Amino acid sequence: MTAGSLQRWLAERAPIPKQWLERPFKEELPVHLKTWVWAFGGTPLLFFAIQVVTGILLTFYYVPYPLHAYESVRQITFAIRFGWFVRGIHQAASQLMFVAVLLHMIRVFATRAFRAPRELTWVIGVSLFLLTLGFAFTGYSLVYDQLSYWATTVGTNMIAEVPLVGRPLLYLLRGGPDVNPNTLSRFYNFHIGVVPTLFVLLVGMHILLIRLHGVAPLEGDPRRETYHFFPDHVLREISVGLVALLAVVVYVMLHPPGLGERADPNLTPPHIRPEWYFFPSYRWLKMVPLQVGLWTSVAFVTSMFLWPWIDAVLERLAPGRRLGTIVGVAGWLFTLTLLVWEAFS
Amino acid sequence: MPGEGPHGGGRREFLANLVLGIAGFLALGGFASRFFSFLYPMVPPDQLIEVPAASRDQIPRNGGLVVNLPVGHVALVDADGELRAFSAICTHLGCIVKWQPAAGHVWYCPCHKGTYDREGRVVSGPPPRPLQRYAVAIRDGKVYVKLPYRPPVLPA
Repeated sequence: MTAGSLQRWLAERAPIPKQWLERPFKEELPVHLKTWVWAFGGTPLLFFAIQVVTGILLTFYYVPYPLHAYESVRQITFAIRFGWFVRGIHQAASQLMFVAVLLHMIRVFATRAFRAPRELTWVIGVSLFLLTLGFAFTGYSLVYDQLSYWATTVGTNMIAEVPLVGRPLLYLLRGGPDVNPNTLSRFYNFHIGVVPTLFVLLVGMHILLIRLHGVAPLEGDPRRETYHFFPDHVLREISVGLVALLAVVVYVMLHPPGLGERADPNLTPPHIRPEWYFFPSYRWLKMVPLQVGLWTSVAFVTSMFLWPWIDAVLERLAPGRRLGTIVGVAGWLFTLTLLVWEAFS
Repeated sequence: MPGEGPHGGGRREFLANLVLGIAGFLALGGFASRFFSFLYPMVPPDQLIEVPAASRDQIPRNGGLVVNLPVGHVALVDADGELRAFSAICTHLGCIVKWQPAAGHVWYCPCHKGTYDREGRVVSGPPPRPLQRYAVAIRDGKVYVKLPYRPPVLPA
């Protein structure tokens, strides 16, 4: 069978219109995208793909049951061939995925690409950001060392403070009133089933909306020239991806993953601290009463979701003053201050 | 036909859609409620039980101790000869407090630096409530504590 006849055979069995396949490659992009800053949109997806591959590999050895979870992670890290490498990549890429999502969000925020009619793309993006945190939180809990166990206890306990539905929600999440064997299997399920499924669905919607709307025009840029998505932009994205991949591998070679002490439900360790991306929330909870901490966190997340509309209202109140940008930057700086404060305290 | 609209729809089509809609809604609701019940844990009610927690001489005068029992975590404190028992679970976010006497407090939570005095009252930090107090009795040199016991959740 020649290549031509194979192509014909395939075209008859899967009659996909040729222009559907060709259209994304022939797309023209506005020229302001032709900088490295705009080449980071694909990196969160690249890191997600790395997580899927290394995550599937880890499931071959990980046992989601309290008696065996820690031991299985120990075996993966110290006994199984290249276990340290696979787990290290999974861990490092998860951190970089968070950074990539955050950088992408900051870029969209700074260029106000969330404005009408692209509000829904932003809302889905914020959901993806929260799901990324969900990946990190549930994944960290699976290690079942001291910090992982107590981070799960503390993190889930916050939900109990929500009026009326808090306790039932907590029971549903933990599979009981306390952290128990059901909790681990539930978190495992969230980590490898529920969260990835939602993530893939939302990424699909996010990309579809971006394609339907086209790239957001850049405020104050009079240029009307375009350039090719393929190969120009794709090559730039691939370059960024390869550098990111190299950075992950080098990081893991230099800092192979470790493992703390086995989880002890009878002893909260001293100096307990979550992963660095939860530092702002951790520092905030230490500073303010619990109810204040809870409701300000809810308000913060809600304002992230509603940001396109909040920005529009602020724009109407003071046209041309970029009040939204000022408020938003103040919010970002406050969060960053909490993070740095906790990191160096 | 009476009631028929310009697109051949009309009352009959509306009723058919309505019945289908209600049936679909009930079917989905039926599935959803059963799936929810499946996921919601079977939590047996708490029982108040009395258990031996420590021997009396383990807690020195004005000293304290956290005891981890299979049925719960208990914080015992001697206040000028009077023994008191509390839940050792911090009321902030559920970590276990430590005996760490310092200026004004005796219990310290390592998670968010909450502190409590020997009455179980919050001294500093973010805990919203005092430590839960348990009834305590001393018999034959042993300390007995009455605490709510939660039988294990199924399946465990």
